Order: sequence, then C-alpha cells, then structure tokens
Amino acid sequence: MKKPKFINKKWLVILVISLILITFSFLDEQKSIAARTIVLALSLDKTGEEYEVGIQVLKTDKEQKQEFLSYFATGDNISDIFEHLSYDTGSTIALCHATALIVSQEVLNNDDNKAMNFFFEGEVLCNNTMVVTSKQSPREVLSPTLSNGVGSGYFLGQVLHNMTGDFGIIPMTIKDFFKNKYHIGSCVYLPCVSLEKDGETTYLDITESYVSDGTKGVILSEDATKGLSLVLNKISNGTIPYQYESSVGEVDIVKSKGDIKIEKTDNVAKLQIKATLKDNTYVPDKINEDLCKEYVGEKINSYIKECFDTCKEAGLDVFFIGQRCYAYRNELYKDPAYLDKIQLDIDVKINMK
Amino acid sequence: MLNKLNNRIYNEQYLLLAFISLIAFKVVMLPQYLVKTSGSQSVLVMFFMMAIEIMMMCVVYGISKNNSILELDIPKWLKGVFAILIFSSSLIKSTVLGSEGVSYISTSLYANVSWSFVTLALVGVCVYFAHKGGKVIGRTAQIFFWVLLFALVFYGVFSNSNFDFINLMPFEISSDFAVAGDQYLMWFGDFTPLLFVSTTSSPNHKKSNMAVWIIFAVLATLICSVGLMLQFLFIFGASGAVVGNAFLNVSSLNKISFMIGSVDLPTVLSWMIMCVIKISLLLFAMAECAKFFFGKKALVSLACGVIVYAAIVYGIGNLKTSYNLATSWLRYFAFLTEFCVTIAAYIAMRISQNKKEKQSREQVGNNMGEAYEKA
Repeated sequence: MKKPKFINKKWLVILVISLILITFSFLDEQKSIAARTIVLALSLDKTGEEYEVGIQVLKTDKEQKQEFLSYFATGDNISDIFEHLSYDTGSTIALCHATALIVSQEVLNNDDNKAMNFFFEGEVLCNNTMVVTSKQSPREVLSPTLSNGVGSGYFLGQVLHNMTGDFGIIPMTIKDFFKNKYHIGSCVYLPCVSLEKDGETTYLDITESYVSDGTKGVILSEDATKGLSLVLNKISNGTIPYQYESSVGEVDIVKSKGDIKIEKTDNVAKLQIKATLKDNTYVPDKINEDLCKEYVGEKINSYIKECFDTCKEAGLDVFFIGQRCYAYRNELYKDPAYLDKIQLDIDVKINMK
Repeated sequence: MLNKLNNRIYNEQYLLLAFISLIAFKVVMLPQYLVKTSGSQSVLVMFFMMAIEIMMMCVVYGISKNNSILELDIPKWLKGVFAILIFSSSLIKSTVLGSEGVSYISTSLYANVSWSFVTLALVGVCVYFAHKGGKVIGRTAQIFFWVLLFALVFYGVFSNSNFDFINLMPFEISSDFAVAGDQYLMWFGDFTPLLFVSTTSSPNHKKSNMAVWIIFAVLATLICSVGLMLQFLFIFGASGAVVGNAFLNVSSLNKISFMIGSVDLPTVLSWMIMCVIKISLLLFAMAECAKFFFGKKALVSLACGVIVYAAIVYGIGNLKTSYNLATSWLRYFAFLTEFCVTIAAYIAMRISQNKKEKQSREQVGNNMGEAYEKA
C-alpha cells in the first residue's frame, strides 16, 4: 500500500532552506547601512605614544541640507579609537568608502608602520584609498569646510582620484604605498597637502610631495615633484613651460614615461625619459622645433635633477635604484651607502607631435 | 545502477568541474603564501605545479572516460584501499580548504560572524550536492558557468592596474622555488574527486568540438591561476606577502571602483560558486568512499559532512591553525595520495582492459577454430 504523502519533498527542502536563512539573519551581527557611519576621509596623527584619529562624515537632514562633520579621538590603540568614534557618532564606523587618509609626517617617520599596517593588512580600507601627508597637522587639514562647501578631506580624495596621469603630483593609493614600502630602501612618496587661506577663501594646495623611508623624510618642491612624476608616473596631461631669450613658451604633454636601467657591473643608473609633446599656443617667435626640444629637454633635466639631489642629500632612494640594482643583478644594493656610489645619467628623448 | 547514472556527466561538465577543481583555492591565500616564500619566483612555482596538475588531469580523464573508479573492473580489495586513501586525502583537503573558504566569508564578506554558522551553511549546502552525486554537481557547475564567464569578462574589460615589471625581476630560479613547491603541496593535486564520475558525450554537441573545449579549459586554467599570480605580483610586489584574498584584492582594482567605489560582486559571486562546487566535490569523494563500505545511504553523506564540520569548527577554528595543518607532514600524504591513487587506478584499469581484450581475442580464436573444424 502506498504511504500517504503529507508534504512534497521539494517544498520540504525549500522550507528547510528558508528556516536556515531566516535563523541566520537573526544570528548575524551585521548592521544595516542606516545604522552605520560612512566615513568619507580620515586623518591619523601621533604624539608620543598616542594616536589621534579623525573622521569626516556627511550628515544630511530632512531638508536635504548637507553638513560635513568631523570627529576626533585619541588613544594608544587604533581599534579602541574606532570604538570610541563609533560611540561618539552614535553608530558603527564604516571605513570601506573612505577616499583619503591624511597621515602626519610623525606617523610616517616614527611609527614603524604600526598604524598603517592596521589599515592595510587588516584590509580595513579599500585598496584605492588615497594616502597623503600635510604641512599642517592632519586634524587641521581634515576638518574645515572649503569655500566650495565641501569637506576638505572628502574633496581631497575626489581631487586625487581624478589626478591620475597629471604632470606633478602622483596620487598614492594605500596599496601602492605598501608596495613601495617593500622595495629596497623602503621609500614612499606621497602628495603633501597644505591648507591655505586667501581672505575669505579656504583652499587646498596640492603641488608638493613628501618622501619618507620610515625614519626620515623630505618635502619636494613643486619642480622636484614634477621631476618625480616624469620618472615614476605615466603622464598624459600637463604643460611644460620654458624660457627662450626673453619670452616664455609652453608645450603640452601628450604622453611621457620614464625608465631606469642599471647594468650588472656598472654604477650608473641610466634614466631615459620618452616624451611626446605638442606645441601650445604660447610659442615664442623665432624658435624652431629643435631649439624647442633642447630647451624643454633642459627643463625636464632640471626637474629630475632637483628631485634626485634633494632626496639623495636626505639619504632617500626615491627612484628605487637599490631595487633596480637587485632586479638587474647588480650587487651594489648590498652596500648600505649604495645611493652615494650611484650616478644618475639622464637621457631625454622628445618627440614633437 | 542508479548510482552509476547519478555520477555520469557530460564531457563539457567534466571540463568545467576540472577547471573549478584546479582553480578555486589557488586564487585565495596561496598567492600570498607563495610570495612570502619565493618572491618573484611565485609565478614559476605556480606554472610548474599547474602544468603537472593539468597533465595528471589527463590521466584522470582517461579513467573517467571508461568508468568511475569504484565501478572499474579491478579487485575489490584494491578499490577498498583506494577508497580509504581518497577518503583521508579528501577529508584533509576539505578541512584545510574549507577553513580558508569559511575564513574568507566570515572576515571579508561579513565582520565578526562566527565560524560555526558559516561552516554550517557551507557544509550543509555541499553535503546536499555531495549526496545527490556527480551529475547534480556537474549540472550546477554548468548552470553557473555563465556567472563565471561574466565575472571573467567583466574583470578583463574593466581591469585597471599598473604593470610594474621590476616586481618580477630578477628572472632566476633559486632554492626558494623548491621550498615553495614543497611547502604548499596541500594546495596542489586536486583531482581525485573526479575519479568518481564517468563521462559521456553530450547529445547536443559534436565530438569534434571537444578538442576545442579542452584547449579553452587548459588556457582558462592557466590564465586564472598563473595569470592571476602574475598580476598579483605586478600589483603588489613583495608587499603581496601581507595581502590576503588575492582574487578579491586584484579584482577590486577595476576602473569602475575608481569612479563609484568597490564593485567586486561579480568576482565574489563567481568565487563563492567555485568554493561551493569544490567543497561539494571533496565531500562527494568522501561520501562515495564511505558508501563503498557502509552502503548507499543519505546518512553516510551526512556523517561525512558532520566530520568536516567538526574538524573545521572545533579542530581548526582560525586561519593560522589551518595554515599550520596545511604545511605539516600531512601535505605529503595528501599530495602523494592524489598522485599515487590516480596512477595506480589507471594502471589497474589498463591491466584489467588488457586481460579482457586477451580473453575476448582467445574467445574469438576458439570460436573460429570450432567453426573451421565444423566446416
């Protein structure tokens, strides 16, 4: 005799799966997005053994009025600080959408990457989060609302995300920050931001860079920063000014790329810059293409030299020459004073479009 | 007979399962471990080990083309030995790799979710697939193939990462190559579960297409394993030694994520599917081995799931213990089992086939002799 069927097997499976899913949803500690504070930018500073972390969040009221708010907390442990900030803001801190992290020079040079490791190894921040340092304290740069009505921390992140390929500042993601840290010499370069005031106008000046190896650092001027980008960045945007007799000319960069090679037994690092340029509207009279190339070449040379010399003087291997020695099997990188023994030979190849 | 049909899959499904089996856990923590041990040589280690695995997969296919390992015409005691060895190897692998999957889900997809809940959900689903048999696992893989393909195309189109060749140099082979190859054997040799399925041609596809699909499968396997390792090194260099979840970190660097934020759903989704299928395959191998001794009951599959659940939650509990277990002497046992059982099964199958051929030839000769005498 056939047994009576109380429930269809298919429906039983669906029922069991539904029960499991519903039970899990109650057990799960995940909070909804409404119960989270989405951090747009954050700052990190250190005084003695104590860290100061700041966060910038956007609050919107019922009338759709936007307000950028900043919260700060101190402590000797970053996790505890975030718990503190969660308490202050009234909801759990979510860092996955943070666009910029402003780090003080103190943290870069005297923290042995402890705090930075928290953000990177712990995968707390998104790989694309921009890392910058500042002339003023990170707190001062993060908190103000700029003249355009946008929180400066958030604005900084947005600007840097759109700067890829520009002549000058090289935006530095946290992923690239650590990639460079693991190179021989442990040098990192990052934009150095300064908050400026001109009457009633508050704005961010992002034209200089900061180079650090974890123990010491140096600020690169605007020209040296341009030299840095010519060597280490693929540039597709920007202009190079030059002086010819008493008039000033300018060329547009179509594309430019640098490449450093070191022979196995040589102590000369051969840097080749290949640039494709285009005449700008500012072309001095009586100048021909060859002369233009010569003057622009000299200008490029001077940018790079300034960058290299500034860093070399500070004992910083900003062009990763030690790593390149290792890559090309040159034993020189084993010498602690390899930077002093290596010469930089710059060759600029310009192609006018 | 029913079991035989449950484990018979189409060639295309077999290729897909082979691809998933080889790839699923080589793109999560393994790249980090390889970079830590062998630096820029990680790509070579990955390529070398993958080449061996692909070659071994051809041997596995040679067996599956005839029959599943437990249905082969070989002595029962030998099947018993194979079953014990594969059960042990699959148990170790499902525990280690399952822990990796659970760790990823509980830390990267969620925050602070207990391992016991995640393991329960994962193992629960996988036990169901394992019990239903190779056909269901193959069909599931086939259904979700489009998600995998979409994730791959999406990643290829929107990939955005700088290729820094200095991270790959110098090109050399040193002792680190052998050290890394030896240390991480547990992540290689993932083919014995496929010995329990047999293949048949799909009525919808021409036989001539199979060669093309095999080439695609081999290329896709190499691109997704060696290619990912290469890209991981390009992007992270030596800092890759502290970057977990390689596939997630590499795929998160796409053009869209620079514009509107992280878009890693296609990759996460495709990996989750691969994880479920891979663990299902391992549990399927365990269940088939256990059923050889204890009969074809659902309770046997469930018991296998309970053992894996207990091993992951109570035996391991965190990624560090899982790493210690994976790099212990057990790695030699698991790796040798994968290779030795496959090769032994192939030899036993060939001997049995030769015997049969000889017998049938003798039979034909006798019949012809009798016919001649009569004539």
